[in-house]
Parts: sequence; structure tokens; C-alpha cells
Amino acid sequence: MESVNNINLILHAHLPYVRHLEYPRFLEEDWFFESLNESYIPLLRMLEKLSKENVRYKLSICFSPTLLTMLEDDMLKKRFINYMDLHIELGENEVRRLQGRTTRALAQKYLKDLRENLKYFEENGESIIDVVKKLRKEGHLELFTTAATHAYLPLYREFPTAIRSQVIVGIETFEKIFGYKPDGFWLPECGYYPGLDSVLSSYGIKWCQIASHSVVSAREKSKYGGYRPVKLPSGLVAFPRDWNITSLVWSDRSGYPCDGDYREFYRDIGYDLPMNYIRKYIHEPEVRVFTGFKYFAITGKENDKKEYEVEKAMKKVSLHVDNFIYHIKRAGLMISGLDVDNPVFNLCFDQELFGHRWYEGIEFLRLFLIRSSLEPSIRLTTPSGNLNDGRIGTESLYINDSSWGQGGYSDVWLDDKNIWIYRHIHQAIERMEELTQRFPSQGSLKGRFLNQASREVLLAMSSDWPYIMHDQTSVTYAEKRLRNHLGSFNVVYSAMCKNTVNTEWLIKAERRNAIFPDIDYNIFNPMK
Amino acid sequence: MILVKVDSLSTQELRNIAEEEGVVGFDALDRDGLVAALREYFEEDEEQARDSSVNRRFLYGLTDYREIDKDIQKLPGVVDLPESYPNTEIHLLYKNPYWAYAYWAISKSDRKKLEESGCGLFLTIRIENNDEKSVFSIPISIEDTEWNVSLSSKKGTCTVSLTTEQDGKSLELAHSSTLNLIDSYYLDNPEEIYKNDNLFKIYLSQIANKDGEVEETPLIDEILSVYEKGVTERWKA
Repeated sequence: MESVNNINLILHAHLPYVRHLEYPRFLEEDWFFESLNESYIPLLRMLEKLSKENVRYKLSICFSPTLLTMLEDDMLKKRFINYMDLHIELGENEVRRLQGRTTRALAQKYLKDLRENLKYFEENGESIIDVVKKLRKEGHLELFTTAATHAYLPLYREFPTAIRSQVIVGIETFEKIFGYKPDGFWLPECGYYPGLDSVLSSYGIKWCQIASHSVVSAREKSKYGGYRPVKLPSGLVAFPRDWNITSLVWSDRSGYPCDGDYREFYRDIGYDLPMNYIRKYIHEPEVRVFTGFKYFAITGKENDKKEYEVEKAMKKVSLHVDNFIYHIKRAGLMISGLDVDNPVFNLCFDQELFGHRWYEGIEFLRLFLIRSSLEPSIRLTTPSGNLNDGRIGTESLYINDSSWGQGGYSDVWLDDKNIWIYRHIHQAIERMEELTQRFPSQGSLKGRFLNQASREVLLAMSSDWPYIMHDQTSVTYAEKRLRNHLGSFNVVYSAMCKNTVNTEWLIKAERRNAIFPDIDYNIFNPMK
Repeated sequence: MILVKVDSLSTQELRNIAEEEGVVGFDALDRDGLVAALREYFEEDEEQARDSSVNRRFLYGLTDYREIDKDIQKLPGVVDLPESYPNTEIHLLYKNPYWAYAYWAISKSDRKKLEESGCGLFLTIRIENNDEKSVFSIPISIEDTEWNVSLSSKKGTCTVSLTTEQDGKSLELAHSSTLNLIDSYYLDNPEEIYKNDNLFKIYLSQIANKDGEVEETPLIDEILSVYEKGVTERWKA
């Protein structure tokens, strides 16, 4: 029987929890609005359409607990609608401004997409969750969870309560929204350390993904080099990310999204047009930001850019999809020649790449799913499907510390720019543990106070803050957020040490960080 | 990116790194010369890493608002964090197969005792691998709070502790939890690498890109350099 290539397309949708209702508009909330408008909604619209066209596709998506919370937040929903209304108004201005110019058609397309995305959002009850549930019910999606605030877990291994809290709250948030327990767990940044598998297994998790290089450097000699799922010591099964195939897209220097015919992300009218025209659509006071209205192609490395041509870009997408499938088939042939039949390719990507950073990415996914579904040597699968498939065996390995970050370990989250944060976060975890032991069963106000403290600790642990510091992008914001959460935790700790509750502060803090409403601070109790 | 705090390393460690990084004339340099050469080397490296090539896109999904940070200075609830915490404790974090990072705090009472006794303070690093045990004691200042720990062995376990001397005996003030180091089949059995041509083809298939560039991790580099050496020798033979 001919060998078939099993493809697990695994998307990870995650954003840090950003919600600043104390401001009428807040810059970093745009991360969420941009992703929703440019990536999540277009992806679901495309998947629904494929479903209606009876395309036999499967993929797996992880929605992080912080993102799920934002997607279900009533205030953020309203603010998203305001964001869309504002951009629709800008689109109408653009269509008028570009009268008689070749770029007008593109402005019309942007305007149409904005209107349709907003309509889709409103028609689905101002939510995308029901569509996700429906696609899962139809058998197209495997949904799974990740750590509560996407903490990079290897740097917290010394604190089992913190690891456990990230896992428990991640599972509970998923269950609350989707109504069942997930089988899979996305390891934030593919961060794994020996022993983490046992924690995940003890909470009913059956699989996770790991970094590709972890297989070659395992304690045992791997026979399948990552083309079979890996059974870890606890019995949890790990799916190694295929670096070879994913780098065709993911490489920031030579990946498909770098092609000159694709749309240039960095040329945006938010930066290019005069202030008196664009002022209303950027941030106060006259802070230029991306608006999504972009008319240039990447062209080359110089600043002289050609106008973006949709048709030309779509032709390139088609070629790139063919090339992508060709590389999968070629790798499959080579591997089957070396006695590894029915290999599993785990193609893990951040969802926000598709549509947001890589404008043509959703079309790439669409064509990939259609063409793969028609390709006899390719089977679109999910990790849980693989586990139930008798044709796909596993191999047992002891995997060492690893991540998908630069260098393959923890360097990115522990460099000279962010290393200082851990002594403060670790201290907060230790103190949270202390509070649970000193005040084990508090109800009412003190219970709420302690619950808020546990939220603040979890939010401080987010991998986004050290990553932003490493990447030197929105560093001040990341640092302020971290200090805010640790400072808030210290308010609770100091007050509880005096056996008092600052009620006014508590009410404000609960409003400010309205995440994980059902959290029980006792998850940090080391005796449990 | 500067991964190491260059001036916190011993002269021997500086020399080893300089040799590994190919610093010309490293063996003739004194400590200051080594520090200066490595600083220059890592800074150059950092500049290269920050190459603003227009094709370096989507490194991260979040939009870069780096130019406008000054406009978000006043978030509510932001407070200064304490400079130190009251307990004597030490923690060890795993960075990569060659380096770990230790940080610590010393309580006021311990600090007072140390100052009054005039006894030295040491960072003691223990690396154990089966029956082999290596212990390094590094004199540190009472003002020190962190150290990049060079992992002399990739295998086994590592712990660090803060120690002092009292009546001629070593006294432990705090110790870290134990860190498991890398346990890799091919690092233990380098001779095996030569025998696994087909297996390495499978491995390379997943960790190399279309241009033949291998995913950059130090351990893979080490394993593959042994493999390449074997392939070259076979080719010559």
C-alpha cells in the first residue's frame, strides 16, 4: 500500500490580555482589533465557505485563554465595532480620494472587506466562537488550549503551583467556552522541560507540540526523526514541529511572504498621508499607526515600491501553494525510501501571520486546504486523529529542554533585556503560595481579594512581556504591564499581611483585569 | 545579542569563549583585552541581528509601536518594584546547554552577620553526573545578586548555593533546586553518529530548510559537526 503523508496543520491564535477601558481608545488594543479584522474573521469566513463547498479539510486551532477572554468581552466587542466603523469611514474617504487612480480598486476592496467582516461579526452575535464550534462539530477542526496567560513554562519549573495554575486555568477557560475538556495543549513557544509532560497528563491532556530539534538531541536514538509522534515518559504524546516545511513560510528572509509581489506591510497611509487627512483615524495626540490601507507591493529591499496588484499576488499564491505541496510530497518520498511510511508532518504556525502580517496568507491557506484535500498522497489530519489511527505508531523518547525560540532553548526569554523580571515574578509566586497557606479558605471579600492576586500573578507570567523586551518593540508598554501586575499583587500581599482588604482598590482591579472570573486562588496552594 | 555578562566571567572562561568565537590573537590578550574584544564581537553580532532588511517581517505578530512608547507612560497602578526581597534564597534558571543563570537575595540579618564576621561569600556550583562530581566555589561580593553559570558538563544535574566559612567550615546560606542538564544519546555516543547515514538523512530532512541551512541550535551544531566530519572522512577514504 502506498505511503500517505499525514498533515497536521496546527494554528496558534494568541494575543496578550490588553484591555484599557480607562481610555476612550488605547493603542495596544489595536493588536486585538487588527487580528480580529484581518486574520480571525477572514479565516473563519474562508473555512465556512470551504465547508459549504464540501471541501474535505481538517486543521487544528488553539485559541489562547487570554484571547478567548478578549473575544468574549462585551466592552471589547463594542470597541471593535467602533474600530470597524472608523475604518469604514476611512475607507469611504479613500475611495473618494483615489478617484481616477489605479489604487482606487484596492481601496474599494478594503472597504468591502471591512463592511463584510463587520456584518459577519454582527450576524454571528458579535462573536466568532459559535462559528468555531460549528466547524468543529462538522469535523473540520480540532480545538485545543494553552497555558492560561501563555507563560513560557521552562522558566517556572521550580514552582509547581505556578505551572499547575497555568495548566488548570488554561483547561478551565477552554471548557467554559467550548463546553468540553481539550485533548491537546499548545506549549507556549514550544517550551518544554522534562517533567512537564507529567503535569499535563495528570490533567487529562493527551498531546502537545514540541520543537523539531528536540528529537535529534533526545536521550534515546530516534528512529523516525520527528516523522512519528513521540511518546514522552508520562505517556503524553508530543508532535514535533516540522522545521523544514514550515520554514518555507515562516522564514523572515526567504519565506513565501517575503515575495516582491506580495503586499508591503510597512507602507501604510497611517504613516504616509498628511496629518490633517489622517488625524481622526490614528491615535491621539497625532500618533501615527497602521490603518490597514496599504497600496504598495514589497517589490525589493529598497524604499522605491511598486503599486500592489491583487491579481499578480494571487497568481503567486497559487504558485507558492503548489510549491509547498511539492516540498511535502518530496520529503514524504525521501522518507518512505528510508523505511518510514505514512509520515506525520506537523505544520505549526502563529495564526496572526495569516491575513495580518501576510496579507495573502488566508488565500494561501484556502488553496492549500483545497488542493491537499484532492491530493491522493496527502491526508489532512489532526493530532487526536493520529492518536486514534492504528496506521500511525509512536516512538518513545526522553526529550530534553527545548523551545522554538532563537537558539532552541530559553535564551530569548532570558536575555540581558528581560532577565531582571524573574526575581520579581518568582517572588510573587512564592508569596502567593504563602497567602494560600495562611488564608486557605476565605470567602466573600477576602476571597475575591486573593483571587485578584492570583490573576495578577498569572498575568505577570505571560511570555509576551519578556519577548517584547527581547525584541525591543513596545518595551515600555510591556514593562509597565509587568510592573502593574506585580504592583497590584503587592497591594494584596501587603494588605493581607495586615489582615485588611482595600475594597475600593479591589473593585477597580477586578474591573481593570476582568479575566478568569471563576479562578480560585487556592490553585497556588503547594499542599494541594 | 549579548548572551553573557562578559565581565562576570573568569579569565579562563573569557579565553575559552574567545577561542570558540574565533577572536584573533586571543591567547596573547590579558583579561581587559579579552573583555574588550568580546564586547566588540558581541556588539557587532547584535548589530547584524538588528539588520533592518525590509524582508525581515513578521518576527512577531504584534505591531511594533516602538516610536511612540513615550505616549503611554501613565498607566494606572504602576509602582516601583522592591530592589531586594527579605529572605536569603538563590534560584537557578536553565538558559541553554552551556549556560544557566543564577540570581539571589541575602536577608538583612545574614548580610549583617557576614559584614560583622568578615567571612567571605561564595557562589558554589555543583555539577554531578553519576559518580563524577565537580564543585566550583567562586568568591563573590555581598553586593552581587546574579551570575551567569557556565555549565562545564552538558549531562547530569546542576545546583548552586550561597556559602560562607565559619570556624574553618563551609556554611550554606541557601541552595537552589536541582536542574537537569541535557541527556543526549548522540553526545554520549559520538562514534554512533558515523554509522547512521540513513538516520541522519531523516533527521536532516526535518531540521534543514530548502537552502540546506540547519535550524540553529548549539547542540545540533555539535552533533552535526561530528556527522559531517565522519562523512568527509568516509568520502576521502
